Formats: sequence, structure tokens, C-alpha cells
Amino acid sequence: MKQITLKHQILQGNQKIAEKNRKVLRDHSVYMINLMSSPGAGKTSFLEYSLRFLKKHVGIGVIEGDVATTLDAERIASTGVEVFQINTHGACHLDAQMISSVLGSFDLNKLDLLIIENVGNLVCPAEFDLGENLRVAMLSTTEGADKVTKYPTVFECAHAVILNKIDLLPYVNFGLDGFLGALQDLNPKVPIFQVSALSGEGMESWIKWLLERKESNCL
Amino acid sequence: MHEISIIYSILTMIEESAKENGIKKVSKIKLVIGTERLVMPEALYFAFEQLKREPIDQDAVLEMEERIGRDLYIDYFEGE
Repeated sequence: MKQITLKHQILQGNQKIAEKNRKVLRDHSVYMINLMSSPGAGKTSFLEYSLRFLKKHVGIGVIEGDVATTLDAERIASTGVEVFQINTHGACHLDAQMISSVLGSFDLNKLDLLIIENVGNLVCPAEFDLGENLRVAMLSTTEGADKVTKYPTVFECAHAVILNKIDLLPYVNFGLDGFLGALQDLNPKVPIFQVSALSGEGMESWIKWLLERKESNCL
Repeated sequence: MHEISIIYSILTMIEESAKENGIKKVSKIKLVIGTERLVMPEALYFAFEQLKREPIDQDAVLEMEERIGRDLYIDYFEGE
């Protein structure tokens, strides 16, 4: 009877492709963001608002991920920003191979920033490195502050956390202190942006931070 | 989650290594599963039973060791 020691990481396939993506983006000085949240938190509205200002400063492309339809890509296209839609037809997250297959559709020489709007899901996307520089996790005030502790991986691995729909705070039972406390325990240094993609409140701080973060990454 | 993809990856890796090492029948596969990897052992066992293949790993037994953290790897396998 033989025993063969492997110590082989499983799911390393995705990781290898993510590193390839990372290299391609680095070679073209493109900064990539992976935006994750549950369905309906407001990712697309958040991007629609952000893009109107960001496109004045940097060349941007967007990759939209959804199980079906091109609805989100159509909304982004209305902002005048180049966008590609990936339909996963059942997969609950984007993976590095899907991103790799779309990267070639952009003229990366013209891009400074590439934003991925991941499939709406607070569980699976956190497990799949896409080759991004920045992971952004979004929660909205209508979802409940307990989602941070209930879905820790996506908030723990985030480089920035967005709390959207703060215009609804007076009308919903969202424990803001509990939310901030949970993040303090899980990911103490993470910058938190309390925003309303609808009214624009808080969006300026987020956009300014993102541009500064991108600049410091390229130095 | 994604236990089916995980088992599929495991069986592919094991079968390749078994061929390289002259093993015709795998009897045991030992995994290390990190608590933060969102993998359900019960779903993994189920997927394993469904995807096992004649003749190489049909009778193989899956053993899992849970560890705190983000590990997810094949520790070793046994056979002859």
C-alpha cells in the first residue's frame, strides 16, 4: 500500500488565471475593482452615479455580471462608459476565466480603471479572486446590520465597505452602531462609506478616495 | 459551496497522481478543509459518492480534517 503526499491546493485553477489577469492589468496600468453585494443593494445605481464623475478624470470600462439579461449593461452604457455583460446562465459568481475572456474586448491602453459589478450574492463571489486590485463590499440599509456577521467572508476580505441607501435610515430598523461595531471586529481598518446613490450623499468622499487609492497604487 | 466542482478537481488531481505513481486503486483520500472556506462536509461526501469512478476510486474513502482558517487542500491519498 502506498501513501502519496500531495499538499495540493484545490481550486488553484482559478487562482492561476486570476494571477494572469493581474499581470495583464499591471502591464497596461489598469486598476481593477470587484464590487460585490447581495441582489438589490444598489450596485448598478452606485456605479451609474460614480461613473458620471469618474469618467471626467480617468478612462473607464465596466464588466457586468448577471445570471441573465443585459439590463445592467444597458444602464451603464447610458452613462457613455464602455461596458461588457457576462451572463453566467446559472453560476452564482464571476470567476477569473470569465474575466480573462472579456479583458481582450477592451482597449486596455485606453483604460485606467476597470470596474466589475459581480453577480448579486453575498456568499460565493468572495471565494473567487478575479485578479482585482480592490475588493468593495456593499450593504444597504434595508438589509439589516446583522449581515456583516452572518456573511463574514465578503466583509472581511473587503478593502472598502459601502453602506448604501442611507437616505432610508429614518424609515428602517437598521442598527448603524451594530453595523459599525461588527465591521470594527471583523475588519478594523476598512474604510466605510455611508452613501445614497439616489441622493448623492456621501458619494463625493467615495469617489475622491477611489481616485487617490488608484493613484497611490500606480506609484 | 461548489462542492461538486471541488470534488471534480480533487478526483482529477488524484487520478493524475495515481497514474504517475503506478497506483491502480485508490483506497483513501485525506483532505484539509478550512473553516472559513464555506465548504459543507456533508455536501462534499455526497458529491464524492456521486462522482467516484470505476475502477480507480470507486471504493475509496474520503477523510476530512477541519482546521481554523482558509486552507483547502489534498493532504495525501493511499492505494495500491
